[in-house]
Amino acid sequence: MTRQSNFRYYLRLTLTLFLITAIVAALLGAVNAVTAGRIESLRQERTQAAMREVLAAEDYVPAACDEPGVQAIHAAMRGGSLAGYVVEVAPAGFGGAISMVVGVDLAGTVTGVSIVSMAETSGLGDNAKKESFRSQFVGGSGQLAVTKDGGTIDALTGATVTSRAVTSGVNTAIAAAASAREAE
Amino acid sequence: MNTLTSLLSISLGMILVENIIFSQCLGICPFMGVSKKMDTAIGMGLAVIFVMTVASAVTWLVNEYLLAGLQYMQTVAFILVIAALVQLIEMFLQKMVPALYSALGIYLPLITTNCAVLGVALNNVGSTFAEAVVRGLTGGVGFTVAIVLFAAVRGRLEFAECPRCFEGFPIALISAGLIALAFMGFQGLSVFG
Amino acid sequence: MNAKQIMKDGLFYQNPVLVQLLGMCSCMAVTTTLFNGLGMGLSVTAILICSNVVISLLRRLIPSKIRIAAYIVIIAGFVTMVDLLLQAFLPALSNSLGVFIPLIVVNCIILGRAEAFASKNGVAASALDGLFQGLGYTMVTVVMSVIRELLGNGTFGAGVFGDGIRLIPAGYPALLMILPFGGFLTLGCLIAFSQWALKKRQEKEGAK
Repeated sequence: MTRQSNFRYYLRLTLTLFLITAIVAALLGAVNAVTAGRIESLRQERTQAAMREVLAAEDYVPAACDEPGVQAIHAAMRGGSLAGYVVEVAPAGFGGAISMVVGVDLAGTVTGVSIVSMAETSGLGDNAKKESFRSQFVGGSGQLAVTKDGGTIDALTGATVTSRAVTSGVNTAIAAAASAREAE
Repeated sequence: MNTLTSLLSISLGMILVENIIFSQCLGICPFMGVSKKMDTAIGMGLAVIFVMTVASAVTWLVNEYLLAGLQYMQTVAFILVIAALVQLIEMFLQKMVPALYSALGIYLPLITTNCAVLGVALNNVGSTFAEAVVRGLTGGVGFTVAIVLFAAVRGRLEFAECPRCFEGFPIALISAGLIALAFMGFQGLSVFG
Repeated sequence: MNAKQIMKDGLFYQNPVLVQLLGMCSCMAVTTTLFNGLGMGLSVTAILICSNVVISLLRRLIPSKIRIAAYIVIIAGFVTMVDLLLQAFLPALSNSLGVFIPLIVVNCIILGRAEAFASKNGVAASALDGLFQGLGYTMVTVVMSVIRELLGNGTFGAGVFGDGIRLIPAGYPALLMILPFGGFLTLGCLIAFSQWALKKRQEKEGAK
């Protein structure tokens, strides 16, 4: 093969691959444009529902927070006065981040925990969504831990990693609420 | 948790507690495919450690700096990066370290379709750079531990008697399941919190 | 190409999981409930049909040196589309399959069929091959998830019919079946069964 045709051959390889990638990217952009809005509104809907579940209030005002591991923190306003904080956290579980919302009242006590989305093993880790597991956190304060680590939270059968992750998420939220309260 | 303990706990997790093969069910195909002999198993393990570490670092950088706002291109970009990396590593080794190349040679191209590499890359989204690299490295180590252990078991399976329809692949799968069961024993491990 | 032959091959004689031993990762990882097994199977089938058709159309245009890279990009494109569509219209499924949807990219079945079938055959045959190989895969994921869900959780059809129909009272099922061990065990037994059945058939044909 001469140098010239060699070059043209490689040029053709590169161009074909580039063209395919470009077409795929364009198509994906189109699909994304169609679905992005829906995905985002679904996510917001879920988060809103979860916030109302963990700490009922009329209005949620985003507050500033620079605690590590906190996605967002909202001040829950009831009748014009502060009722507590709703903290969005995403601790790393078994199958990626667990996106969850924790309500903390002004005394630093957990009022509720809700899982927005998670990719834990179904039948095991995803039992964390069950009321019986989540309700263990309600009323807790300070630093919580699963029984295996000397705490009071009963871990899910066969899903210690998930249980620890949710517990650490709750702890992060309690700390974030405390620091937000101080900053107030 | 400070950085060092978090890195240590990731390492311990990826090697034992959340072993890629035995508890995440990723990379089963190469695991079953090349575990018939001990030396090929070791070769594949080393190749995976290498690719997974480099791929974790590169995909993390790509995701952080190139894909901002283009999250939907993640899968396409990651798999392209992995395929290109495997090709590059192959060419590099062929030129520079021919001994290692001839040892890993045939396993390198197979790694592109090893779902463990892409799985780790996708799981790295949202962690820090150091965490991503450590997760890649120790994920590869976990894969190697699993495949080497299993190659030793499989050598013996050849001579074991079992019902005829279970011969070969099925009994190998069930033995792998038993190792997975043994690995569950690590679940209670929490040295670094 | 004979359509009937493609169907029989995809579902039984050349079943992607049981005979070709491809795509085992996703088969084990997600088959914990009927909902997941069925959802995964159908997603893979859809992607397989699309990628087979496109690759068959482009088979003369793609230089052989870069074919694998080109196939992977095309497959990744379809996988991402399915991922986005599921997130938007079936959030429950997308939540419970999680990272295993993007991982369909490296499901060996899809690349394997692209290389072994679609790159050598016409569009119609490739589409049929995609459909039946996909259904063969779906069959395995559904059978596996029914067995594992029943023995591991004591229910049938969780996710499809609410929380599922409870067939074994709570507390009795062996949780182990939902763990990876159960996946290895169930798949091992299924492959053993298919080896037995195929051998039977061979003997029968030999006797004729």
